Amino acid sequence: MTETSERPAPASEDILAIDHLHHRYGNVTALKDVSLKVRRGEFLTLLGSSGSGKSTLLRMIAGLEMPTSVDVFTLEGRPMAQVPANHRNVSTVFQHYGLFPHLSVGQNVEYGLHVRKIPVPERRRQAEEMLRLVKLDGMYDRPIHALSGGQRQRVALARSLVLKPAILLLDEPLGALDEKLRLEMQIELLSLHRTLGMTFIYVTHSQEEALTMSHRILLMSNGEIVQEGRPEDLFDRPSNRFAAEFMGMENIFTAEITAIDGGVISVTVNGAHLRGLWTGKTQPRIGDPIAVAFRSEKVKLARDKGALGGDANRFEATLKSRVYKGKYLDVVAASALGDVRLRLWDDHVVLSDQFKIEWRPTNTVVIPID
Amino acid sequence: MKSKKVSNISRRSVLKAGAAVLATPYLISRPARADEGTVKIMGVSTVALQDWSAFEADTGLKMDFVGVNSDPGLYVQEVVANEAGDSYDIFIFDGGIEDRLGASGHFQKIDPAAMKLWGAVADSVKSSALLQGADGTQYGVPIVFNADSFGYHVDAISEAEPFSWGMVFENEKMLGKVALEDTWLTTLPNAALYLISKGKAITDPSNMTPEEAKMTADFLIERKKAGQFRALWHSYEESVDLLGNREVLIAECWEPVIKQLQRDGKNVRYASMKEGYSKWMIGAYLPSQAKDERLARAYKALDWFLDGHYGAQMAIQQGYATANPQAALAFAKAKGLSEADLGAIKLNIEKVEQKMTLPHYWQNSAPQHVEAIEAEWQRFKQA
Amino acid sequence: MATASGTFTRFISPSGVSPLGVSAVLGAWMLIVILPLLGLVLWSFLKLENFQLVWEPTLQAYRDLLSSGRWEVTVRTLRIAAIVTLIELALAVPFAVWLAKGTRSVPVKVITLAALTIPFFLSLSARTIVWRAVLGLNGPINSALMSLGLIDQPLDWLLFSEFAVIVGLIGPYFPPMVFPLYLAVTLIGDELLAASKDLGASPAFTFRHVILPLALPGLGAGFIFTFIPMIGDPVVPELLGGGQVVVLASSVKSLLQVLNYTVAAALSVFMLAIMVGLAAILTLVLRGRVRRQST
Repeated sequence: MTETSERPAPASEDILAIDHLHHRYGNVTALKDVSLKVRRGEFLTLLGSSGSGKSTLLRMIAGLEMPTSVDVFTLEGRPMAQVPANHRNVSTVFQHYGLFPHLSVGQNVEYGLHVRKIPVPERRRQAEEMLRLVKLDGMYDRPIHALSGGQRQRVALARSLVLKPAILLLDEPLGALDEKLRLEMQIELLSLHRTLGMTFIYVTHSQEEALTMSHRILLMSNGEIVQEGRPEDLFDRPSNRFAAEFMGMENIFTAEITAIDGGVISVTVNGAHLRGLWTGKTQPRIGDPIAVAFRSEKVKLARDKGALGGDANRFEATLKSRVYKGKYLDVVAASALGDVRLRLWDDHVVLSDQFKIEWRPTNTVVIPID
Repeated sequence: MKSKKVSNISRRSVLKAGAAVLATPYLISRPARADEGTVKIMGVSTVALQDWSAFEADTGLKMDFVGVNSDPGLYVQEVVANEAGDSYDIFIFDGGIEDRLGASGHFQKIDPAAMKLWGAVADSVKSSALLQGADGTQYGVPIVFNADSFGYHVDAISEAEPFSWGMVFENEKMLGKVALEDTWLTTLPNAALYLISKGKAITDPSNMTPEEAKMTADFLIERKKAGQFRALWHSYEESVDLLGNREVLIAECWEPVIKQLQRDGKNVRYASMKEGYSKWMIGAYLPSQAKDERLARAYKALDWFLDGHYGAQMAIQQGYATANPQAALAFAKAKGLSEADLGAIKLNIEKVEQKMTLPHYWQNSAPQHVEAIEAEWQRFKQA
Repeated sequence: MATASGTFTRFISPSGVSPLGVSAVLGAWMLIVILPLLGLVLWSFLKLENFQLVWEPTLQAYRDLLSSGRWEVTVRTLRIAAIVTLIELALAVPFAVWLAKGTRSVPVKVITLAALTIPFFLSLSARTIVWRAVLGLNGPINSALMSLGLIDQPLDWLLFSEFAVIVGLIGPYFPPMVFPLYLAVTLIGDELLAASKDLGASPAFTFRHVILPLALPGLGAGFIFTFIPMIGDPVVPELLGGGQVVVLASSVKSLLQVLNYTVAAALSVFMLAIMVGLAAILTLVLRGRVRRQST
């Protein structure tokens, strides 16, 4: 899709391996049978809404919390399950940065070096170098409260990076920034990742951030990993209903399988027939509870016979509502399937009350309902 | 003195000096009321009766009694700084205070002829130093009095009474087993009584010169260093606890403490003394502001205090001696009071007569060199 | 009302503080604090004869302070207050950190805070007097030590001693030390503690370099609420000192009872001078430290 596909693939060596991790708070299950492997140099994103367990998993990796049970938990090949945070070679950039308000910028950056009893001049040298890297040259003596949100973010980054951790953990680091700054920082984080060749594990609830930045995404829900894959995989081929919804498929209908032809599945929705590609993890069978989903921007207006060819899913539609959004037009149309959402990018479009809509089966996913 | 510029610590001059903080008003005195039917008394709470209806029936006056703590500093504060004499007809304070407040003109001279019962009061009582100024002027009318010594656990002392004060102050067997009252007012003179018996020259234990006070304090410090004294107590309850828990075996204390411990079944006694007692008296004093009809009212009230009803009540309630015990006895008989009450009054008469025959001193809350005496006492406590 | 507030806003200076208000506060401060203080100093250089103030400057009051050994009262009072404050600090800091950060259980917090408050419904004397029974010659501690054969004579220094006073002061002055500390530690974000741990710090390092500096305001408040009132508190020393551990408040009270205002003033001025001196030294030391840290 964007830059990600052009980024060099990380080395194949696993820097972190977790197998069958469970975590409970009292009777509440926070993480359920989580397994993952992270390759050295990889940019991995834990994506999910709040309460999905993504931050808890990050804290487990940081060592700030200990799992209730886990079979394998190795960092750079060494078992880590019971090692506390202060003895792990990972470092976290916290959501609210966790900067020490009583220390200057420089003292904050040096904190971890101070812990490691690095001599003062060497500490200072490394801190200033790191401040240069995050473009805060000359800010060494500034008090924290005099910094903007973006600058604080950079201090937090420098404070972690100066320790050269095996993995840098980022917990929704851009959540507190405004839109423009967030985009800037995304680019900057990517360039830092490239420059340092370090492994990043990034937690976010924003699919846009996840898609832009990651090599690989773990989509989490209710303490479980729901789907794992490259950004394109998650975006185009969500493997279940939750993933489809989370990745922004606006049109989702409960359906019944009528025929299975290799990867192409024929289904009926309210008696209307359409076709799509199966993206579920296991092979479907007729009678399974399934859904069909497609993106609003993939739905086109069909003139006469249609532009997408004979195998397209094509329906008569009646205009229900239209909302002009500047760059595009959001339309809701009633059809045999039910209400279908369209996003039309053609600004010359003239909509009558009755029209035809069409979209390709390859842009339609058929997914299990769990 | 003449060449010095001096000023009284009255409320006004204190304000002028800009140090109003030091003279915290305790009771804000009100302007004198021309309430002719009422006698207003500021007095130590212990001398108050629970029920003044007999007073009001006998005299036709209303009683307005404002109780205060037994605290000479407070008395001076009220009388001098707050000018309480403007509104109070009678002060009933610990005796001794008249040495200063009489001389300074705050109290007026007593007119014996103004009271019908003055003649019935024993000379030894009414001539107490605690009622007369240094020059012998009669400023006070006796209200209640007693003679204090110390209490002890009977099983701890094999000797027989009467004892010397040495039992308390200089007694190897009682090392660390003695409690003293935490005040120079009684403890310094008691020690002085003992020193006198050892041949030291002290003219008046209750009005020592700075040198005599220093000698007494030196002696006490020496005994303190030897480990004689376990504790100094500040309140009635504390002295009860100290003796009751056998934290100490001897304690300088008030007679009611021993009465209470005996009621609790402890084998304790209140000692009778060889050298003398610490005698105290609470007297009534008239403010110099009281004149004419106000003064006549005050005398009428004082006459009632010298009569039988008050004396009987005090003997029965508190075990205190009063100025006219025979009147109290007569009153009790006339009223047909119980044998037990009669007994309490008779015992009181005997006890007081026995103790009064001994050499003694009167507790003096305002000795001439009070600053020096207080400083010596602090030096002892510091040591 | 509209005009009044209008006038008021016009007087607001660029710094946002009304000069009218500042001078009012300053005036009140002069009247309530400075004037009596000056009176105190003035009185300490005079003397009383027969309740009459002699308007001649003299050092008599200060001489009396020395000859009666009364100056020691000041030193003792400060010593006891300092020792107890240090003990409170040593106890309260870990306690407050535990309460604020160590336990997540709300019932535990509520019960602990209540337990700290409840004793205050009893009078200080009533709470203190209990120590008499505990520390006395025939009390449980002496009995236990004797029956264990550790001692054959009861320890008399347990009660009516500076030791007893210090023990007795610890309880009543614990909450005023704990509460501000607890509040200060509560205000330290969990993320800071997590960050410190994440950066490799041991709990001790985190305590020294994060918790302690950030809890400093609470520490200061705790110190003020403990040390200062202890200087003025005669209750515990009188009840447990057996009249032999004289503190400032008792000494001043005794002086006022005999109306020796001038020596009372001198004693107060002496104490004030020591306090100002200590504060000055503390300020200098702190300023020196700050300067060293910033270079």
